[in-house]
Amino acid sequence: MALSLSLTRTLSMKIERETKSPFEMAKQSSVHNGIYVHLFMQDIRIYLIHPSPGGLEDNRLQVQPYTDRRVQQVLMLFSEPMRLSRNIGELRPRDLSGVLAAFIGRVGCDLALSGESFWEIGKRRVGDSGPDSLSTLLWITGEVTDKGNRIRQRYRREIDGRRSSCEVNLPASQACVFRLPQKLGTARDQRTRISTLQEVSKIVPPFVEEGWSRLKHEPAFRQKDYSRTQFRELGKAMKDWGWIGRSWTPEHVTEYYHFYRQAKFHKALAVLRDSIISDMNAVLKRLDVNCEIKLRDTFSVDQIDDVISQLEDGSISFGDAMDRVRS
Amino acid sequence: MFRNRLQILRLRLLETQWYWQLKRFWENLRFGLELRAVNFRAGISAHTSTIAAVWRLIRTSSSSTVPGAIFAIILALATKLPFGVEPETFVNILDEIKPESAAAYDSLLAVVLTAAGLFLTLYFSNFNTVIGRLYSEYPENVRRLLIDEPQNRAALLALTNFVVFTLVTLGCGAGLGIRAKSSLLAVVAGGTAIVPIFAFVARRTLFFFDPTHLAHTAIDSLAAASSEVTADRPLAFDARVQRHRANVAAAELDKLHALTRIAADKRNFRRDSLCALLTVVFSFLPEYQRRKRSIPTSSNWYRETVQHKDWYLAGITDLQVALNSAIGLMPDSVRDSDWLEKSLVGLLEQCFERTVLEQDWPVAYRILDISRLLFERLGAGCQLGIVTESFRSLRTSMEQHGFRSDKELSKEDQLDRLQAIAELNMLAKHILLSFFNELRALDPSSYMHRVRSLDWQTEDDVYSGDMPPFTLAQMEYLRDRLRFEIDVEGEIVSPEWYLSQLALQPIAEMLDTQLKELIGLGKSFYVDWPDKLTNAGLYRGAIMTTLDGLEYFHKLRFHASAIYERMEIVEQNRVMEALAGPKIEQNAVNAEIHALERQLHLNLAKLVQYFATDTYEEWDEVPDQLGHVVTALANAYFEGLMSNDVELCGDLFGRYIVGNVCVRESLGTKSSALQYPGDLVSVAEPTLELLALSGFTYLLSEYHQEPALWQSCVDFWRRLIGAPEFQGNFAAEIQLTDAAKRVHLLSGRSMLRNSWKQNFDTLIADLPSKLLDRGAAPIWIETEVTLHPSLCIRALTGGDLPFGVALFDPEDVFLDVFLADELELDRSNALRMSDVKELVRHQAEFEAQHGFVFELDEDIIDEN
Repeated sequence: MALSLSLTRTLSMKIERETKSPFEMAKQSSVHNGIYVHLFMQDIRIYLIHPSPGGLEDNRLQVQPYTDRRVQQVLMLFSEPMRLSRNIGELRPRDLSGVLAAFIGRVGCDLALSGESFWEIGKRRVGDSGPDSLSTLLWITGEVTDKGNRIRQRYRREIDGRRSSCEVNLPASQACVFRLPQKLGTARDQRTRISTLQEVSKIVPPFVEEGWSRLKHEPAFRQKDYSRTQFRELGKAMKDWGWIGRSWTPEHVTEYYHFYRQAKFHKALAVLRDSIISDMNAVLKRLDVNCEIKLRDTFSVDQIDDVISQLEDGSISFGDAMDRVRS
Repeated sequence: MFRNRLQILRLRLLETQWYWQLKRFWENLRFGLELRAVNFRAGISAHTSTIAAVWRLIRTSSSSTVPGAIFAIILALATKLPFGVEPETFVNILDEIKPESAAAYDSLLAVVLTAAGLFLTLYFSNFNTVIGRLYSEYPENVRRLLIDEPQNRAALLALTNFVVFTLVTLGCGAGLGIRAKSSLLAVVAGGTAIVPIFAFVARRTLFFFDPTHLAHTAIDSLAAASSEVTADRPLAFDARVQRHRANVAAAELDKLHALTRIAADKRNFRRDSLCALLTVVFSFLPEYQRRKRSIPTSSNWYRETVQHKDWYLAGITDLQVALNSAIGLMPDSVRDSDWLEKSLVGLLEQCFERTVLEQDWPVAYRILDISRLLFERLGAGCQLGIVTESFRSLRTSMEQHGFRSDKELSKEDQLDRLQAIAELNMLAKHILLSFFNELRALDPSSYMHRVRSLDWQTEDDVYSGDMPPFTLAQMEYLRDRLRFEIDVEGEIVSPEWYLSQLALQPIAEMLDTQLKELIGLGKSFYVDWPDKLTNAGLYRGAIMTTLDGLEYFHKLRFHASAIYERMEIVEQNRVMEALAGPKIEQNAVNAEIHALERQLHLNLAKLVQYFATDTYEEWDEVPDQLGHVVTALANAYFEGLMSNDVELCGDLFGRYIVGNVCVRESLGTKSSALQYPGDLVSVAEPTLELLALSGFTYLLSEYHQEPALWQSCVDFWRRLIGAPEFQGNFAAEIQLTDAAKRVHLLSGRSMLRNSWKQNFDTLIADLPSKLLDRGAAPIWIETEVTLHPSLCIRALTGGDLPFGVALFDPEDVFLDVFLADELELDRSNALRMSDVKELVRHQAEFEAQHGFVFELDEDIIDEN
């Protein structure tokens, strides 16, 4: 199945479903430092490629930790939680700005990512020299205040290791705000979720890890109890999303529950996907670009709901159900 | 928000070192408290250092004598109370001994003390003599049993406390001047009691010569240890407590093994003590099986053992590691939930091997008889894997030590050995029946009702004891996972159909594995083993085993069919086929059983020849046994005819004739006088059976349109008629059968022949038929003609005959179509309705007259 962006007029671009890993794709392309948008199945994932000291051959993705929680709402929009907390780490604000910048760049808005943050670009283009031909900015935030026709965001940035806070006040017509769909919880829920995920992302407590580094065994520590508690809290935190985590094994859940949560997770991704596409189409419309992004051959939320109902009835096998929701 | 912070705090708590250390401290504290109790009860502890030994001495002596001393002090001090506590009665009774008379008081105490001390000395002298003699003979764990024997210990404790009591009372009187009448009375009462106590302990010391009496002690400890690991006991889920109990139980089992070895080695113990010991030990199993339902399957009570991983079940990572590193697959670590049962079965195997080695056959079959309790419980507990292994071991013992030529054994020993083989055969059938008995008690509907009513959030609700034992692991599996769902989602998300399918899955798995075990047990024991018995010259044992095998498989097929019907609910609840787990495959099981029965019949046919050459006249029971064999062969041959199994019939018939003739000869020699009609019938029955089967061969070869069946039968008959020893005898034999048929007596064989006729009638009744209009016939206006390609079948079942084939005796059919011509018999006076050849000719004329042309009418067949 081809997943394509069907652009009707000037932006005729087709993105095939990628089967290679983002790392391999990054090696093949010239994007060695920046953002790579990887459309995998119906899940849009954003991978950050930062070359390690040894280069890409080192087979590691390096990112620096992110400490500002205010943009986490958007983080969740674009990345799978586990990838966020374990594989990739957390994103910086400028990385995040780059995500959307790159995205818009890919759809033809001529905004390239060149190492400097989106905020810097936006400031240069909007704040310093006024609206240019781009005429629309993407604004990324978790806490956006609508004030009449203007949008204000309190923002803490970090440039060259120095932290500073600032407030941006933009005309609403020049901003695009991506918000989490209501079905997937409120911003507060999302913050709670993120904080819980951060807490349960450790394999062992720090004191055990330190003990290991000193070849010291901690006899009192029970890995099984610890893991089970973590899995339970992770399950609770991601109940609305249905995310099943990467390490859930049959040791903790029934086979049915495993697939049920997977189906729910794909439903959440479908909701998210529809929300992103809808917001992006709104941006294109505001840009006066006569095109619309449509995803073909993907399962809609209603269709996934049907699959979940069939699972509940037992009229579809687990394998078939997963094949359908992942298609 | 507050809740969220609380949750985060809770998670952070898990990351602190002191949380885990506190948790461990609490667990250690509880374990320590529990372990003290264990030590006190089980009395096992190791003290190696001198200080520890001294401390142990002080602790033991003080704990055992303090009660007596305290009691004495209390009684003495009671006299000093302002109000009188000594009853007037005592005062009256002891009036003669005045407390003021110190000398009399103290003298009495001294005398009693001396007597008690004397008794103690005598006891220990006696004990030392007995123990000293036995000490070097017995292993350490048995010696331990002798010393720690609880009844002796209790009696000694009483004696010691009495001595201390008397001593303290004397001390109070002599040292402090406190002389209580009640103390004196207690001393007198105790002094009187020490005599029977001493007699009791002295008598029990003699029991030590036969240490098997002490099995009760070991069994009690074993039972106590097993009861402490059930889910309802405190710390039942603590791994260290479980391990400790398992170690205690293993030590007790070692003691039982040692006792059994002693009893099996000594001939004077073997006859009675060994059997008594085994009875006591095996009686423990039902109680343990009941307790096992309440022991968590992951408990350390079950020892860990390694199990080789099946390559087709191994994960891809394991396979890759094994292939790349050129090493084997790492074995899985599994819990052996049957270790205790295996140990008990080991006791039996050890005893049986020893007795067979000693050629003590009466004890051997008594042991097998006692082990029925053990095997029946194992069968009822669906632990047939252990049973199969054990049977293999018993059989090996028999092969290695018991397969001696009959000439080396006395006739009694030969019979006892045969009895032992019969006991083994019976055991397998008892196991089968106990297994199906247990299954019959299992009602899947009520089981499902119980599963639905389980409180999944309560840890030990699944151990309530009323769940089938083989479902326990699945219930634990579901409990852990459903609790997770409830924790995460607030409710059980897995739907009802899924839970039902998972809950019923163990039943399907159990049926699948256990039926395979039963079939495997039957195959190895009843199909393969008779070959070895035959090779060793034990023909009667082989025949007996094969006959029992037929009964075994018959029962297996019958009960399995009944159970399959009851277990339909399992298949009905199989909503999702893709879920892992075996299906209930009744047809496959039946086919396998049928194939094994066929093999047994062939084996039986081969064994008949040994009778023909053996000196069976020496044995009264042989003709009966051979009669059973021949009847079984006849029945198998008839079933082969019905199912048109040409190969089986060809293999069976010749040997059946040999067996039949042997039986006829053995009966002829005994009933030559033929004084009563019953004698005539019993002598004629083998020949009647042979003729009947030959007649059925003709009829069924016509029915199946299979000439090979008939041809094979005729060939055998011609060889038989041509044999010199039978020439001229058949005419007389046929006359004898005609005479016997006039005597209307029911016998087992005549009933069997009748059942064959009924089966054949049913077969014929199922044939389609057509009505022919005979026009102006005076009586029969219409005639029914059976639609079958054979003119003979049509002649016998339709045409002018209103009563169908039931009127024909198959032996007459055979005489008419074959034997009368071959032997040129005069059949004018025979008791028969009509000549078959004549009937066929008549039917052909009838059909020609009415223009009947045979064609198979599909519609008529469908209607039928």
